[in-house]
Amino acid sequence: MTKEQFIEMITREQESLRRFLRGLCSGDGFRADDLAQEALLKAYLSFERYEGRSRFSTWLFRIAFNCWYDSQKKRGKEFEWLSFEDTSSVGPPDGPADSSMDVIYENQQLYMAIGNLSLQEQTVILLFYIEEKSIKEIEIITGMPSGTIRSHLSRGRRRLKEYLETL
Amino acid sequence: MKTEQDIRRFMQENRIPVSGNDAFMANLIRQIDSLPVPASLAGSDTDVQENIRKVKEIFQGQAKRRKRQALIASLISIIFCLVIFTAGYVFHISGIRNPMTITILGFMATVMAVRWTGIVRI
Repeated sequence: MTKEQFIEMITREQESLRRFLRGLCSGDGFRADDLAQEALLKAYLSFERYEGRSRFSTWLFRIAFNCWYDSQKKRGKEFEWLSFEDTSSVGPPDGPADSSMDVIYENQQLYMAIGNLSLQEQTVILLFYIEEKSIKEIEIITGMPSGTIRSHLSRGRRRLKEYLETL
Repeated sequence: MKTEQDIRRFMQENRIPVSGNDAFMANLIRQIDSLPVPASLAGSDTDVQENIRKVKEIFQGQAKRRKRQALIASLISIIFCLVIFTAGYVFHISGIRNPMTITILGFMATVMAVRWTGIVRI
């Protein structure tokens, strides 16, 4: 593959990648775009690590998710991404995952709907419903086992239903 | 009771809007251009080998041309000096045998030959 072909491929994927990161960043477009840029540059420089086992977009999402994860750890605020194996103790936080959510997107139905979900649930819901990724792909992107993804999805789905009932 | 279909419809209807795709890509491409091209994105092995072969051909061609030019320049300067010395002997010009004159003549011959063959732009 050449550099031009790589650019062509990321041009096709960048919109969904930025949307996913925007969701994870609670609508903070600037931060999401910074992370997307960082992820795409990392992908460019480490393209030899792409083995072609998963789809190219899944590989990009994996890198982007890791960038977001690292940046969350650096920010350190309200970041309680529990061990993926520890599913028993995973529960929704008391309030929204990010306090800036209400400020930035108080009128956005989506953020209001997913705001009460835990970060793991938000991630899984965004990937499954918005980006239409399969469980297998979400497993690759987040590194969570499929059982954990299914339980997050189930909890998130239940909460979304509850939210939709209130509309 | 809300169904899976309702959730899907709601999520799709409320997809997060993403704008500025062109500006984002333009900025990203600028950054990519400032980075070295990784070997994995330098094209296939065949392309790389073909490029190496072309570069080698160009350098080999240049080396051959320069050798030929240097040889011609040497021959021209020798012929020029021989002509001058022959003329000096035939017409009995004593100044020709002077070491200083020989040095200057040799230098002039070399400069003319080099300039004429285009080895070095003077």
